[in-house]
Amino acid sequence: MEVALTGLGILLALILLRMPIAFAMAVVGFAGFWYLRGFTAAAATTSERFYSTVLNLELSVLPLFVLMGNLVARAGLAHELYAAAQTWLGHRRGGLAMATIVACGGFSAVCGSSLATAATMAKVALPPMRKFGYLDSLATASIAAGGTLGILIPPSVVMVLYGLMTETSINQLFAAGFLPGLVGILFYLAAVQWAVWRNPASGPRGPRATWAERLTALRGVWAVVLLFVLVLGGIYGGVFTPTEAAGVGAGGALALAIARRVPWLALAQVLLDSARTSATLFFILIGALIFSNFVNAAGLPEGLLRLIVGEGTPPYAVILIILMIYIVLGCVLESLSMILLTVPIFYPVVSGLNLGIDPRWVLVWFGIIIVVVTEISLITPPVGLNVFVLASVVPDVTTTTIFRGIFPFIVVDVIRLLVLTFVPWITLVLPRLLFG
Amino acid sequence: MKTWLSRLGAAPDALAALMLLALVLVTVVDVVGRYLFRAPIGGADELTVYFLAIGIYAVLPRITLREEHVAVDLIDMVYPKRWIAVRQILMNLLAAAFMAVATWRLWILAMRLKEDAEVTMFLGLPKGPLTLFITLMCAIATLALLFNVVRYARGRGPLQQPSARAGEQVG
Repeated sequence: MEVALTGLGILLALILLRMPIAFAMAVVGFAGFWYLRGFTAAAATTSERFYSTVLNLELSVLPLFVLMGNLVARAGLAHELYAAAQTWLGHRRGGLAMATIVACGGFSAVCGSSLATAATMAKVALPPMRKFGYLDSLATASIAAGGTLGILIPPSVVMVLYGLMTETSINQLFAAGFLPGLVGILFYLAAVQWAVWRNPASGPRGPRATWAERLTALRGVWAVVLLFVLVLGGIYGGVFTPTEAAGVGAGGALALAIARRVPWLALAQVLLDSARTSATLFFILIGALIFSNFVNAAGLPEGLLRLIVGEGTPPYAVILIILMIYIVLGCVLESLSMILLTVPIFYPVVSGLNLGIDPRWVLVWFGIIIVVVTEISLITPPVGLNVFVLASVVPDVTTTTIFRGIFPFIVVDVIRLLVLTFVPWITLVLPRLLFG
Repeated sequence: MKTWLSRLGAAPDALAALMLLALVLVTVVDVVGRYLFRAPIGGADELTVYFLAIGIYAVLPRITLREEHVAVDLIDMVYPKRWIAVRQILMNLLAAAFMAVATWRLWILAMRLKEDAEVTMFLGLPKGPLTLFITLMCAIATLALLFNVVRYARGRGPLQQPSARAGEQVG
């Protein structure tokens, strides 16, 4: 265990010294395995990862979902979503910010990335909110927070990675994320309500739409609904494997983009960007797998578990400690690396705890909890990536302004995290129903 | 000379984009064939995996050269400027040493697969050349890391601003 902790320390040092996370994990994992089992064994197992990771059929879902999200963003589906949400909610105080949250939720149902969701919605939702005199702090914060739903409402790139690392069914994770996603939307709506209650001038009322306008606008979102039903209907109905669903989703998004006359050159650029993004993801994953080889060989998870059980710590106290660690780490680490770094250490511990949850479902539940914690890390200072994305898409807004508006959203996020932690039913009812 | 070189540099990008497109098409055709006509593509899984492997490794040299791998810039504000080059040289050297070992072992693996003439079960795709391709891309990535060492040693900055990292599109 001392060896593993030393390795962990060196790893953090290398990451802070700006070594790419993929290389840092691979180097430390390799060196640690070398120390424990000798050079030949380390070289063989390490290089094998470079080969076996890309020859894994399941992993093809990753580039396919990345591509689907990027295509959907490029095809402009977010405009219809926002227009529809606006006609239903715009006349309320803070209604446009609420419409932003709902549209983010809808967009998350066809996009598996939080940063893509935030970047897309920023271009769509910010101009109308400014037009109606919303304060920048509320307007931008609602986009940054709403964007975090991207990784919780399926499909989700983060859930795919978690599923692969813990050998948990991706279909079950996608089913589990749905209700917590809806809960997330409700909590964020409450946060907007709270913000306009504190300062009514931050979100003035917009015009009221007629019922005819509402129904027309609702019809505009058919493309999103179709894509969602195709992909997640296929998964929930037990018809599609994750790969098939991702392929159909990417194909459908491609057809939509072509039908909406996205220029060919732009499509080629989307393909290339998605390939690059997927490649960076893959190399982080390869690094994480090499690192987890070492961590397991050094017996860190077992050591931790023995320590916890020996101390007689109550299982839910352990979970709370893990969540605290995530919130602290989330303030300084980029979200994806944080998950890939910590999940190999924590998941054997969690599956060894007696939490009163059916052992078959513990890792599904824990996966959703981790995604929600990661959502919080996306909007907490100093390293809230969603906030940075927003600041880069909207150059005249500073990160300080956004962070000022984000406080109510972080508060409801923490409450939601606790609710989901202590009421596993919300997370597990749908996957149990579909796959139990 | 320059256009020739830049065209060669763009080839892996085009290959990666094409592989991703092929990945989509083969999955869609397989699904449509399976559920609508009860006639899936034989060996679609093998094609998928090959497209995936080629597409991912095709862009490795470029994202390594342009330092587009995801990194954390948390302490950059307090980190002394004149030590940046030293840090980058050391980190790139360490990564290069690791990649060199990985490349060497991949080469051994590729040679073994080639000698045994191993092929995939359904379509009979040879495993040797694919592994050789992975080895080659890892070798070029190692050279890219060494190239970065030389560039920092000569006092030049990064090829690209870190804010435009591809990895930040994820999460």
